[in-house]
Amino acid sequence: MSARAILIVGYGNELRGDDGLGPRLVREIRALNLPEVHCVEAHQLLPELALELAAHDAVLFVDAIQVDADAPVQKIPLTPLTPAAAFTGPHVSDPAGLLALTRDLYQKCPTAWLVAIPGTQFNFSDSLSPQAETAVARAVEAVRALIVSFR
Amino acid sequence: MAQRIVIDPVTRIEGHAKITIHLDDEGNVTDARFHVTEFRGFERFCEGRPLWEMAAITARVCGICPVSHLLASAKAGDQILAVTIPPAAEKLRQLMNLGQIVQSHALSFFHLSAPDLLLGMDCEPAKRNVIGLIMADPALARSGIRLRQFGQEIIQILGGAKIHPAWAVPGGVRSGLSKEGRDHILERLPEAKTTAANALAIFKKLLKKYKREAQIFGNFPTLFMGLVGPDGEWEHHVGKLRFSDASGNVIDDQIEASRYQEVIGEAAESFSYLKSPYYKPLGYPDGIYRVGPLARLNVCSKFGTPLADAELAIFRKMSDGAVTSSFMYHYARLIEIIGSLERIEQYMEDSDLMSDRLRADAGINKLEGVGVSEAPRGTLFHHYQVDETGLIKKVNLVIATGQNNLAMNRTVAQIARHYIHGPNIPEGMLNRVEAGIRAFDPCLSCSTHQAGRMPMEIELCNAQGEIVDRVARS
Repeated sequence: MSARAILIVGYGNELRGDDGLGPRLVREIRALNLPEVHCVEAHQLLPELALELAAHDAVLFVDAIQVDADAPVQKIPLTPLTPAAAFTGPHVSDPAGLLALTRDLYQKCPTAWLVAIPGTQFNFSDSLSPQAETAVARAVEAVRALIVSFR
Repeated sequence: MAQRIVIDPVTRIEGHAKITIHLDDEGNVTDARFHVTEFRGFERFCEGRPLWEMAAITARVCGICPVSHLLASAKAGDQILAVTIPPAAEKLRQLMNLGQIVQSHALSFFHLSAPDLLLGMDCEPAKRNVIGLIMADPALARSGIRLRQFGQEIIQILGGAKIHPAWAVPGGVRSGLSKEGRDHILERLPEAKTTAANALAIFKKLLKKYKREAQIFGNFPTLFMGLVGPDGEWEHHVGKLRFSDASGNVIDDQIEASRYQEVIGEAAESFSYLKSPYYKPLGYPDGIYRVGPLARLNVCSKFGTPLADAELAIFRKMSDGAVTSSFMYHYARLIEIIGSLERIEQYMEDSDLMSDRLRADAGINKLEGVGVSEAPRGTLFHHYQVDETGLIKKVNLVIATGQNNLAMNRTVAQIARHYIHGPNIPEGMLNRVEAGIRAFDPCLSCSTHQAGRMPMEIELCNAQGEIVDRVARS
């Protein structure tokens, strides 16, 4: 793996409406075929993702956030949890917990951000809300900007 | 003053639950309940969807065991198409299920239970987690991650995705095993077998340390249910249902999955969204039964592979009849990993897996189908009714964890009565109650069929039911 390899992890349940924003965004990024950018779609964050995180220099976690429809796409820098507040299990894992697991298992912690995309509808649905659809393009630009800034 | 102590949510299990413990005025436990606070509605959501979508939909019940739902759904579809799927497809589905069992059991042992077992149940909470485990034994923690990864890789090699692989369909599967995939599995198998054997050796050494827990963690007579082969051998995807009792006697055998409603009833309790299945001939709640690794080892006559059978013989020496302590789910899980790896190894010698005859094509030939498969946590049923065009009219999912509901409630009460006396409860005692539930490795998102995020709240109530204290976490 060459230097500055970037992993994009989009996660969420695609049968829960806008919760599918993470995986949807990852598919948009994958279609761009950006060099040294690797993409993972996930239903939720799981421990073995630590192996992939350890193999990259930076990771962007992409998830939906329940806020007003016109809220901006947020780019939040992340730090790993301290051991005392560590990863306690798959269903309650979060990016900071996964980073902590990566740090403690493999003595490596990639630079990390959370890209939080606004979503409004989280009921049973296999499609995004109209508002979430319009947020996808903004999220793609936010991810591309982060990739450029990291390089 | 009577008190109600609530542990909410139970940490380190899949999904969300709450445990309520009621004390009398002397501080003795009068009752304890395991509540599932999630409400799900997948069964209703599926009505009106085409049969062909069901595998993909139900696989999204949970991100931990999507493969189990995928395979049970495909089997229900096979029934509705009224087809016998090609032998290669049958074997490939089994291979995927074995990968699922390996990865799920590895997660359960190394991440969910090992912090308690290896660090001790009285270890301070800040360290009694997977990071504490990593610091205590980093090699063990890393090997556990790789074992789980191996199971996931088998799923990905076959299905093209680690979760929600759209691979098993009514009539068969979409693709076979490539030579590269087979070579990769063979390359990783020795390490996986070593990790599993090592974990089992560690656990067997720990058994002396947890003699007390083994006696009181859900140790009571129940029936056990699981799939078995025609000679009673351990099964995980084909075969028929068998019930045996706590003495080890087979009481009902070779039941076709399609007849499950003749022997399994489902009761609802007001304090939980989790249904309570029971063995109908004995009524509710006397028909309490358990499923999952402990049940599968209790009902089977043999495992059918050498290493697992050797370990099964040792396991069975713990009792003259069935092994009844739910603490021994941990032990059974590790034996199943070993046996599953042996079966995976056997499949690598079978050239059928690279066949391109993988699917039987047919239309809607029956209006009802039941698919059963052993999920890692226990027997899973998908029961569909469709109309003439194949649109779903009704769905009933009987989930593995749900079938352990009665046993989990009784486990909570048993542990609480043994450890809790009075209003001052040390953390270690509360964690033993939680650990009793974790022995079942429950997947609550599946059991109530919906993902959700519940706020965490602990309430302390007096004898009049008035809340005297409350702690809330967002």
